[in-house]
Amino acid sequence: MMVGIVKLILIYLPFLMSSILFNKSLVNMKSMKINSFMFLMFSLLLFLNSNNGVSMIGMGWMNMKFVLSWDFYSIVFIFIGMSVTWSILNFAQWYMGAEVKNGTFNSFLFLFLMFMFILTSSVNLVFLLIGWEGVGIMSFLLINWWFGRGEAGLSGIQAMVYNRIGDFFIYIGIFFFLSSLSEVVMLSFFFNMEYMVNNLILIFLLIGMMAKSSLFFFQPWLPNAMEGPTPVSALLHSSTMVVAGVYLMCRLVGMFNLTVLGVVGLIGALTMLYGSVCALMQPDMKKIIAHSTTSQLGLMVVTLGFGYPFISFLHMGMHAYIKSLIFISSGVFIHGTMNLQDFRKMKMGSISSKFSMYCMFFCSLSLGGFPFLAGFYSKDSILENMYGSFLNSFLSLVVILGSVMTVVYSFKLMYLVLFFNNNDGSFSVKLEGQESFNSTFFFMSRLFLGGISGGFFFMWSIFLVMGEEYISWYLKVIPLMILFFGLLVGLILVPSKMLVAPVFNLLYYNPVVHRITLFMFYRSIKIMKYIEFFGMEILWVSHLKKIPLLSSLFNGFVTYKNYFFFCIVGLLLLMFLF
Amino acid sequence: MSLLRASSSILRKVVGISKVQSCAPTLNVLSKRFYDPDPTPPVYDQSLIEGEDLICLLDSSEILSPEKKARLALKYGLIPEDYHPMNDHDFNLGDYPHLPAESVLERDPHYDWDDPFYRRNYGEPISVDVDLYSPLILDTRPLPHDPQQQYRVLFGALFSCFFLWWLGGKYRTNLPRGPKQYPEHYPSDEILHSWEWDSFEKRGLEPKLKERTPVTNYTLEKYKWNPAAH
Repeated sequence: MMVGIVKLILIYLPFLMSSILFNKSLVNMKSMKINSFMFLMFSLLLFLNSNNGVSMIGMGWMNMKFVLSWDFYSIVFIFIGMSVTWSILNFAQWYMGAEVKNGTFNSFLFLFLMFMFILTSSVNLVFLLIGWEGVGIMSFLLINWWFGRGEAGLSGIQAMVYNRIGDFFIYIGIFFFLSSLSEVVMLSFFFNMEYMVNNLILIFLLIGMMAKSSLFFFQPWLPNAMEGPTPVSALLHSSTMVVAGVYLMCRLVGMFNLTVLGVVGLIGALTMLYGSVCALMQPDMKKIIAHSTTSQLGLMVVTLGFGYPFISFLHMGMHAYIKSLIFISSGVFIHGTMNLQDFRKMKMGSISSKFSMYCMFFCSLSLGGFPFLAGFYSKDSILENMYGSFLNSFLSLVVILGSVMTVVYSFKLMYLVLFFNNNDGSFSVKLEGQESFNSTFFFMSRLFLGGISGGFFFMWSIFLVMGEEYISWYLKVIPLMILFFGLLVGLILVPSKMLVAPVFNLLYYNPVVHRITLFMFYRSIKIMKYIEFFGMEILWVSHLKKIPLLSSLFNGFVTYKNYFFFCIVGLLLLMFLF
Repeated sequence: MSLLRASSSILRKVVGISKVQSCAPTLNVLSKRFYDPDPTPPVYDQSLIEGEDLICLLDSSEILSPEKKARLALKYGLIPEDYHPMNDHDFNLGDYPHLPAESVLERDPHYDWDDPFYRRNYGEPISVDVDLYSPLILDTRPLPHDPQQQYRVLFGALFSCFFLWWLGGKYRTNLPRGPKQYPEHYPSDEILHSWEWDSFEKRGLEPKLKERTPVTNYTLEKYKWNPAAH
């Protein structure tokens, strides 16, 4: 057991060390990069050395195995997460350079990364909860980074509350697993096929994943989380943290039966439609990207509902590269226009950082599924595999509709960046083009390579296990038709400013859904509040005060101390009586 | 390390450079600033609210007379018209006033409140759900559009989606599609066992191949069939 503990500590030592060192010195980026590279190499060597697909390291304690697993999912996710984080940390250093607590910010990011790798590399559901809760709390802290602003505080608490609701259901699901199967290691679920799980447990787990991944009914926290700094949005709320729910679902989807898979697909379809519609009419640049993230998460979940975890996982990886680069480009624009992110104001000035513009242009095309860019490979696989005699035809239609809308809002983003470039605008603050290019090129170009050509390499190196299909030519051209139809719709809608019309404005349902969710949540806990408030103040303590012996104990206010004291005494009395 | 640290501090004293704070205040400073073992202000220790000034139980069967109502309203600093006790037949909640469920954000932001963040004056009775209606939690300001209409549209769209989903499960698209076939690959086996978890431990990253047994329906007199050679 001691050996196991030492091994576990040694693995996360680089992260811990770098996060501690950061508080001491402002810039220690180099050591952090080296540490993370070593971690990556170490895990890759472990993976290559083992002849099996899965290699584990860990310890057992009280019949619980706290195990780190290097399997297909965790290795690929660690590679993608590392390469995205490498660029985003450089971006954070550039974007948050003027912050007072720059080091604390970076150490928060690295702590988040550590929790994320606990989450991805654990096959034990209880051990996974450490990472699950850890990324939640780091998300809260990072959204709250500028906590002096009311909106930031509100968004942080909102994200926290939504994640809490989901965690509650996850806990219940895990307790059910423990009570019925006496097992929480995910791999053993699949090794023993006689384990039949009730649908209710799977639905509980699904609700937890919905809250974490901001799927439908839990989606309002994600656009509000854009109150945080842009590096946080790029790292947490597009590529790594919000896909945690989908990642867990990828791992557990082998256990889901067809009924639950249908529900999964329906939720994904609703999320995709809703996110696309919201992204179409948003004026705020970062919120467009946030809603587009929501819709892409919906697409991943629909794919899981069809029963293709590998394709969903491929889309997750490609989306990580594309979306983080889009966020970084938007951060460059926000920096260049003196912290403006509303297009209605931004279009008054001009943007002189051409490279960010091209990054956003090509990555939006890639997200829309332009042939042989990264997003094409995953989206094409999804669109080719969703026809068949055993798949829901409504979900296939929704995926096509949602893909068209994806192209439309991507076109909106491209259009607003490229063509609203008014040099005679009243807004005179410009970013020095060459200067920003010099500092941003190196970390953006890496992601640019991933977002453009990553699909080719990932498809032909790692995801070859996906089978090849024969389909008809008219099904084969559907992705291309989607792209051209979407561009056509965008060309009609966006320049004519139809998307800012009040009819489209009516489609913004986030406050409505948020109020419904909060209403349900707070009504359910209201009785607790009554018991606490009135139970403490009057109900029985006031009766007790009439007894002269006890009245000397407390005068006036009933403090928590009195309350606690009487509770303990009452419990002891009850124990003696029964 | 300790030698180095000591020497550097001595050097600093000799040269006269004070230590430059290069980072945010650490936990030590914060804890000294914020940790107070006795947070009660001294005046609050002597102030006692006793007897009738506290929240009292009300008899549920009794109808409030105007005099008693006025007296209770005065106790909570309200006018009698605004005063409605939270007393209930089933669950006796006492004489605390029932306050409207309005969030803090709904109140006038330009009024000179005693507490501008929570937008309330001192001495006001506080709602039971004061934490719920705080500016950070719940916002009850009227929405830009009619919420009833929005609920109608939202739930209409949702239930139509449910219906279409059910319909799509009933009538599937039987579009032509099939996995690419190789000599030793049998797609029907894939479909039969597609929900089975075949672990990487069992089969690495290789495609799933079926073991074939040699089938010979002929013999050649000159060249005898030798199964070991294949």
